[in-house]
Amino acid sequence: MKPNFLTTSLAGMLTVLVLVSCEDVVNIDLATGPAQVAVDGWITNNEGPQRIRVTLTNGYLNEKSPPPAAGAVVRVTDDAGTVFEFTDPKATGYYTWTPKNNEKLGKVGRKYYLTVDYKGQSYLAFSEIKNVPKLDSITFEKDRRVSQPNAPEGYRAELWAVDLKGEGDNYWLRTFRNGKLLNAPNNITVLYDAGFSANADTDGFTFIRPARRSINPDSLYNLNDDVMVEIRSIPIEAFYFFQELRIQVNNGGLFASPPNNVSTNVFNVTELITQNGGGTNGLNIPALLKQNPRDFLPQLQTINGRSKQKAVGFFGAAATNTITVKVTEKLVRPKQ
Amino acid sequence: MKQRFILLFFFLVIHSLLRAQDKLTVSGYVKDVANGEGIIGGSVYVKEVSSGAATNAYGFYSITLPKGNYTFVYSLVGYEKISKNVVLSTENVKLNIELKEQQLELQEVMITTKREDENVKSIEMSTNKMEMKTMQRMPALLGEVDVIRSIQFLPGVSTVGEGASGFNVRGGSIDQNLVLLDEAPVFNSSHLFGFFSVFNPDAVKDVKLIKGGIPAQYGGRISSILDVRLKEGNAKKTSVSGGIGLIFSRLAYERPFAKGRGSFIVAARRSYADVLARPFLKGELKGSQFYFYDFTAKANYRINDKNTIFLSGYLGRDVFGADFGFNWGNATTSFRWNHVFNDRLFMNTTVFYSNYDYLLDSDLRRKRPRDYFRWKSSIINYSVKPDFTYYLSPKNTLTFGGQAILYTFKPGTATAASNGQERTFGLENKNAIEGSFYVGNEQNIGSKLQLQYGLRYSLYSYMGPGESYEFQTDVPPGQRRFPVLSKTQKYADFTPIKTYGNLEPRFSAKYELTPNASLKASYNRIAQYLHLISNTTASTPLDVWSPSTNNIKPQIADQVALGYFQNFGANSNDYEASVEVYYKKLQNQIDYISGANLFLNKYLEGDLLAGDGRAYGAEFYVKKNKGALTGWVSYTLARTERQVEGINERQWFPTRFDKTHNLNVVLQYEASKRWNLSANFTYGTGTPATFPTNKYEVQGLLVPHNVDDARNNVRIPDYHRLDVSATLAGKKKPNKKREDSWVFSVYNTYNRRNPFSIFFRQSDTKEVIEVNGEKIETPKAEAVRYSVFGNFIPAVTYNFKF
Repeated sequence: MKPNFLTTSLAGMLTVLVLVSCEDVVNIDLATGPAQVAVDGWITNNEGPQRIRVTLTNGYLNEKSPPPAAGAVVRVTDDAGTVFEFTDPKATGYYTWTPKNNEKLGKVGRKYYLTVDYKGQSYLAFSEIKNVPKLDSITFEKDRRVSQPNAPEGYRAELWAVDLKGEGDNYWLRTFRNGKLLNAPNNITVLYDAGFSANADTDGFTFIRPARRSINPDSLYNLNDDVMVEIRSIPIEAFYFFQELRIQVNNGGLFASPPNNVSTNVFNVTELITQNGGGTNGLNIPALLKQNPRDFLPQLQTINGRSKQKAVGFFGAAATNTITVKVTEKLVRPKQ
Repeated sequence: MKQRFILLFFFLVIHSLLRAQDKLTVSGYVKDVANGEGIIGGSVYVKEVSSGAATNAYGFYSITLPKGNYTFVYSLVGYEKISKNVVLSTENVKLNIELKEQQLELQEVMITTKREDENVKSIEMSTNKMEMKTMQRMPALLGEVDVIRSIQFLPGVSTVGEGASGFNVRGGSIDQNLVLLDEAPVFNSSHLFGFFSVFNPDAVKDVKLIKGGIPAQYGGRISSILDVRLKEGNAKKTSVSGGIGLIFSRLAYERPFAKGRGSFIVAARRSYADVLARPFLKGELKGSQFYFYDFTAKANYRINDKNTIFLSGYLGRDVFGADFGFNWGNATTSFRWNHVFNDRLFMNTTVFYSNYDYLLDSDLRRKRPRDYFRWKSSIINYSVKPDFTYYLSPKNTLTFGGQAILYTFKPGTATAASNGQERTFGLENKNAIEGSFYVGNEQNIGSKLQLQYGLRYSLYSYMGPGESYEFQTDVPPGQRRFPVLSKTQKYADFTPIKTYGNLEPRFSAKYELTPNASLKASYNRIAQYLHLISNTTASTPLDVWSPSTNNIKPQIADQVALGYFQNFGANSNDYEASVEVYYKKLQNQIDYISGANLFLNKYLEGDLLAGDGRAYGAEFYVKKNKGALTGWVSYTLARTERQVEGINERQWFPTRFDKTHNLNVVLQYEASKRWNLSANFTYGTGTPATFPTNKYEVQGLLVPHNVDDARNNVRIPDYHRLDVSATLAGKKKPNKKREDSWVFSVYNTYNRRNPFSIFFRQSDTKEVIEVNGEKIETPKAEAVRYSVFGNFIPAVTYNFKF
């Protein structure tokens, strides 16, 4: 249904059949290019502080984590004109907004602009918060992985939820086992309506079976594990971003896709600001807010395309819902 | 320019016509005495005029001469020569000849069945023939004789990596090869992804690969023609052959009928790993299906001297799956009618049907009616193709004809259910019609110069039902273009949406420098209206074929090639050698945006990019045909590149299958009457790859990034491999028809882990850092070499025939 699923299955079948292919970790020298600003930020409608990480890219095989982009001015502006300042006094790269007086940042239906000013360059990203459905329940069945026929049986979880009515809702599922996020490259799960692809008509469906069962760790669950699933409503750009990301971080084997840079929604708009007279107010956010940001996108992409210092990464906004259950025999259903 | 070319063409043809008068014709068929198979490319030489002709694909020949007495010599390498005196006085002569295979002296073999001097004398260039006999002795992967893997040892042919489906000819992609099985196109020539090809070696008679100088009679694919001809079936006696290998079991049965006026062959293969594995499968894997089979059949019937008909069919399928599964396969049927209008006009009309389809099913065993996903896709062709050959004079052979193809694309209807809710969705079927006409002439000018020139016109129409889309134009290159919905138009069945026409000139020339050496040159332009939508390193069986549309322009290739051909050795034809250089320009090559969505996507065209291609290279080839030791060495120096707006900053970049150096050595040694030893060696420059330069993190995942946005900027390590095999023929018992043999082979003899790719991923080890009192895991990266075969692979096969 989604290409990854297809190709992973193809590659899997092939491996099972031939049993002779092999993967070896090898030493390779890679050239390192100039550092770029990298944004990794999600704001939500949750209470509490919000965090946006701004770093600089570093060498791919460099053992060190990407260094922080210290001293940047990081702001989020919503379409009501409220400005939220994100600060990083300890220069960790994690810019944080801390609420005062039970203030909440994200609200469903609002649009958000991220601006980052760093070393004379200005970056802009856009996102919005859409509605999120409820997660109804999680059930389990005793099972074992097809690929591990000799492993002991575990509990396979299945998440029950229904897509919101109307075509084009996008969701991102994050699963926590005993409080720990399942964060392997193949754990990225984003949905288009109730399925994996914009081309399958699943509007208003119960999440499709492979999506329902995407919340399992490789080893499946044990009795008494705590399983928490968080669903985030995400804009369409984020859906495509995660699809690309998923391809690029799981890209080996016979049916690999061409390695490509993952697209970004963070654009260098320094040129635009200079055109508008420069300064911190050069970027006329209130004017931007009046138009549909998606109409403005080709122009932003073009301006960004001319820039010598492009950013990478993604800024998104989401509303969230969660469900938490403990694996108990009571929740186990007979195997289908 | 075009007009001038047409004028020149007609001048040449008319000039030839005027000169063909007061002459008589000798015509007939040349066949193999042992099994009645028509002999392709046999030599018919007329001593008195020091010139002659070759038999066509059906063994037919025709030579027109002034009245007089002549000596006709019929020959073919590996067969005994036959001389006939022919008196041309009052009427045309019909002369059918049967050639007998030579009884070779001990330790001598012949690995070719063609005219001894064909390499030098034929106008064909950039063309390689491969005999089944040769293929059967080449060491093969898991002992399975394989047409596609064998031709990869020829100059100018390469692959993106072992296990990849298809082959690349002179820098063309895999969808640019017209793979013909008895004139019907085969859309996917692979079993088990790309490990084995669909051609059953027991049923194949002859394989010919045309890489350049493509004559006017061929069209529709821009890089090569792989012409696979099936055996006609033994017309003299019943014969059964077969074999048991590690992958396939094979059986072929051939026999004459209607007192030898007709014969047929049926051949089948099936993999049987699933049968052996069945008792060992448990749990979810119980009842798993994984097998592939093919069924090939052909019959021919000679109605009378003027009419022969052939019926060929192929049916193959790959089935994989336990719970979730998929299967795919080709089916082709071709009916051909050979008709001799008169001694000088020969016609073959082919009517074919070709179908490629696949099915993907998440619930193969129908256990979950509430949750499933089922997707079917297919491409269907119907075609009629009359081809005429008019043997005008010994100096001129005129060919003309045409082809009409109806394509139906069924890119996919899917039905899906989730928790009991069902829905059907997918793409509408698409139709297209391709019509073409051609005329060509092969002309001898003096005894040394030969020309072949022709013109093909193809007219293509992309038709409804369905919608046509227009896409955003203000999007920077390389980004997804969304449809402009107000410009969407609906079309009724068979209403033209977009029509393309292309004039395709073809030209070849040969000049004989000496009796043993010639110079050849060719130019051809070809248009292709089909595109394989595939964005993975190796093509998958689930890739969709798309027609040219209002947004996808037809692929066009122009190729020039120049070659020097020489035979040498004790008998002046023991060795054949050639050096060829070529340059190929390709237009409208499809590429893809990052994250392109190729499956069931209505707006697929918005995710496609179009670019140009260029390929150039030099091919060196030496082949030894006679003696105890036979074989060839081929070396190709080549480059193939793309330029696409939106990729690699619009700079030229090498394609994923570009190999600078490619050396192949194939040796076969007749060690004794019973033992035959064989070895293949192949060396290729590592294929291009894109390596990241930098990294960043997104939600705790490590993302590779290339600062130059480069494509294929580095190369993976070189590829080399040695395979060996030994064939032991069974003891021949006097008066016993039975023949058998054992083939022992080792693939990848020195156990090299050849890289298919080097890819990058985050490793399992993570570093924990503390940020503002919170522990955060950060991943590390590693480079991984992926080898399709990590070890040497021994195999044994038993073959029999009686």
